[in-house]
This record gives sequence, structure tokens and C-alpha cells, in this order.
Amino acid sequence: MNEAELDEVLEDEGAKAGNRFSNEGGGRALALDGESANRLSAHVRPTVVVLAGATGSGKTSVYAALYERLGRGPFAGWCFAGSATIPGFEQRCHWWRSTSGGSEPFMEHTRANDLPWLHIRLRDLEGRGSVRELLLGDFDGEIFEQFRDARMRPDELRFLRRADHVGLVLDGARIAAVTTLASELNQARYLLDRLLKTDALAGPSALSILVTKTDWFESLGPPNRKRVEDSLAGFNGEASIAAGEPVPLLRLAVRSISSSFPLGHGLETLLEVISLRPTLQVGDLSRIYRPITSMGRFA
Amino acid sequence: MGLPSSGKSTFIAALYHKLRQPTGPWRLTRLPDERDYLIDLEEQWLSLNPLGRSGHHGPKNVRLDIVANTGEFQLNIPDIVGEDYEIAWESGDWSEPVLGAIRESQGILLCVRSDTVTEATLIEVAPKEQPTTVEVRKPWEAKDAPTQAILCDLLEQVREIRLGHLPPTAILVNAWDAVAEVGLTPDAWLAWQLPLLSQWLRSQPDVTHRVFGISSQGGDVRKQEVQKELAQSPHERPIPKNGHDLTAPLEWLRNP
Repeated sequence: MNEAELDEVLEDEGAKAGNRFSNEGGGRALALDGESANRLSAHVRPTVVVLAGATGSGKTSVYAALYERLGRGPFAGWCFAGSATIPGFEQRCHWWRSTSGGSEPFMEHTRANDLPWLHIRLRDLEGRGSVRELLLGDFDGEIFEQFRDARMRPDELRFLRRADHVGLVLDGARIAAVTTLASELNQARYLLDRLLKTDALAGPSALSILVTKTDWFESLGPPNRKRVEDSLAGFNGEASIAAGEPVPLLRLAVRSISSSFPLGHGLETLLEVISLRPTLQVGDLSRIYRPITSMGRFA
Repeated sequence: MGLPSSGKSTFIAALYHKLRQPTGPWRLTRLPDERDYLIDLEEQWLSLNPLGRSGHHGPKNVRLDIVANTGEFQLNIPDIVGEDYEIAWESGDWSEPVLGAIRESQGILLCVRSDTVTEATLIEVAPKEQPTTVEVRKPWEAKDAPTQAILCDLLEQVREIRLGHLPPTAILVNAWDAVAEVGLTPDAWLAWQLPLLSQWLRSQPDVTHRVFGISSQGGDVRKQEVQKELAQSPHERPIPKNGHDLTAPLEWLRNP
């Protein structure tokens, strides 16, 4: 992929999203389209994170929880240093708040025409003062279902190749239920196969496995709990073998009804994974975004 | 800067009156040429009435010629209605006069009223045995956003307007009298009540800021007993515990 094609990757997502404004009837853009994300990337080198999973698996909730948790103070060694998409985060977090009028938390499904890129800037609290710019891709789960089922090609999801971190999302609620465990893992295997055996990712080290809604495991009796744990360990093993290197498996319960799982549970580990390797270095240098220099768009 | 009813005009009213006094470290050298707006504000403030939401369109010019211990200078504080900032949050639109004021400013007074902070209140959750009835959820509206999110976003927009640079920023926690008894410093109060904003300010390497507790009225003038007490000395309003004099944020902005 040459540099011009790389520039087009994020912009393509804006074109697919259609209207720049995600709320009907006009108003302010709540998130970034491809062009805006590309402009941001021209000034800083963001860590691009994409969560890939089916509709309702909890992708948007992970992002919302990160912002909502920071809204209560620094955590995991990071503090909030800014965002170009505060309205986008606010819209997503709205469904967890009393202003929504709901009696229990809810998360609206991401729509295909929603602007996909959320931005957040974090600063290290531990005196080093380093900054992490995160571009978080919040895409309609239908896209990944189509990709999983080979109804979309990897070149139609070029943002995956640009991502420094791709989290394959397993829906913990479906893992916990005896009737849907097999189906969830089966679908995950198809998605894993498509991610690793096509040109979808820049490299296998971009891949992590995120198990959401792990608070659902707490109510399981010992036999069922063991079944779940064995299944997850097995899938993790399969993924690591397929990737040719260990694939991290992260457990999240970001908005649980149980007090045992505080808001954003598991995000510390996700931020640690991102911090340990903020950008993906691969042999093909043309895929790495660089800041604007006096010599032009790319040095 | 500040949302509607954040105390911007009340601060200006109190400041103007203070500067008109013959004694004090800061004084007016002469009355401003454009003074009708200031006189009207001052009158409401002296009458111990809460100032209503500003109804003017576009920034009101407030230009004050001041003499202080460090010399003479001119202070320009355009009084911009809170609705302009509301519109900026909701639509990203700024009027040309406000854009001009933002670009030319050498400092920011960011106002937030201590007793009207909108928080992000999460739905309380608990395991439910019975299915809930069908409920209608309200779509998100920008006006429902918590105060800290709006203020952070406004500062982000202002920085973008100024091509990446924010001037020194004084945070005025107005109506400080309403929260003084909690015993926190204004800085600690900001971290407690507006943690997102507090983190944002502390994380910007190029933004100098300080937090001030300001009580422009000296107390809650909506209460009769407070009005009566303040009426004993209407020209001099008390500074609450851990609060600051009206000129303190401006003194700091002159030498941040």
C-alpha cells in the first residue's frame, strides 16, 4: 500500500459515513470522519485502536467507559489531557446516565452512518509526562459480521490495517450462557481466521482478544465456570498458534450491575497493553504515519 | 468565558464598583467612555439583587483605565453572553465579534458557578428480578451534558481558534460563598467537582492556569436575611474562607 493509499484509508471511512454530521438535521459533528482523523494524524502520531466484534458485543461501551471513568478522575496512571470528540463521548455515555430517562444502563448500537473515530489524549501521571493520543474506531458491528462471513474484503476495511491495536471482541454474556457459548466461539474463530489469514492486519502483533461483560461469569456455578475458562483458554491458545506469537486476552466488565465490578473494570489492563506498545512497527515503512515536516506531508 | 448564569456579568459589576472606590490597590483613573452598561450592572449589584441573564447581543465592551501599584494599564473584558458559549458547544459556531475577542485576548477568565454545576450522574444499577416495564429513553441533547465536558470542549475550541495556543487562564469559581464552608481550596474544589476540567488544565504543558474562589455578591442575595446583612455595608462585600479578592485573578493574569 503506498502513501497516497494510506492517506485514503481514513478518508474512505468518512465517505462511507455519508453526511459529516452524525445527528440528523445537522448540528455539530460528534466524532471525526476520515478526513478529520487524517488531519489529526498529520500532526501527532496517534495510537489507532479498533475493536472488532459483532453488534452488541460491547465495543462502544469500552470507549464510553474510558471517558466516563476519566470524568471521575485520573486512573491507571493516566489523566485526561483532552479530546477532539467530547460531544461524541458524551452522546455515547448519555445512555448510562439518569438524563437518558432509563432505569438501567443501555448502549445504542453504532449505526453504519455514524462518524467512526473518537479521539482522546492521555497524559502519564507518573512524572514522565508522556502523552498518548488515541484514535478509537467505533464501527458498526455489522461490518465485522460481514467481514467474518467473507461478504466484505479486507481492502474494504483498510482501517484495520492502519490500526496499531485490533481487539477481537468476545461477548462475555454469550460466553457465559450454555446455549450460546459454542456459537460465540465459532463466530470468533471465523473472525480470527479472517483477521490473521488475509491482508486485514498490519501484523499479528496488533491482535488482542477482549472478553467483555465478564461480570456475567460471576453467577456461574463451578462446573459452568470451568467450562467457560477452559473454552477461553482454548481459544486463546488457538489464536496464539495462528498468530505465531502470544495473543493477549483481556477481561472487561466496564459497566456492570454488580458492585464487585466498578465502572471501567479491566480498562487498566487495556491501557497497559496500549502503553507498552503504542505503535506497531512493521517492515513496510510506508504504512507508518509521520508528523508533517518542512519537507512536506511525509519525510 | 462561561455558560449562562455562571456569574460573568456579576463579576464585572462588582469589579467595576470596587475600582470606582477612591481607595484600594486598584482604581479607575477615569470613568469609561462607554459606561451605560456598566452603570446598569453596578446599580443592580448595589441593590443586592441577583443579576439576571444578560440579554444583550454580541460582546459588550468593557474598557477600564486602571492605576495599580505597578503602574497604569487598560483592562478590556468583553462581556460575552453565556448563550454564545452554549451555541459554540452545541453547534461549534462562533460569531465574528466573539472570534475576534478570543483571538486578541491575552488572558481568559473562565467562570463557573459553584452551586449550579451539572454532574454526570450514572443510573444506579442493581440486579432486577422482575422485568422492567417498557420505558422510553430520551435521545441525547447537547444541553444535557455535564458542565465539565462543556467547559473542556470550549477550551479545546478556543485553542483551535487561536491556532494551538491558549493564553493564561484564570478559573473563577463564582458564588464561592455557597461552598466555602466545605473547607476546600478552590483548586481542590475544582478537582472534586469538575475532575475532567481539572485534569485537562493540569495536563496542558503550554497552559498556565490558576483557580480562584470569587464571591461577587458576598452571599446569596436571593435570601432576605443575607440581603439585610450585606446591606449594612453594601460597598464592601465579604470574602469567604479560602476565597479571593475580585482583583486577584486579574492581578495574576497580568503576571502569570
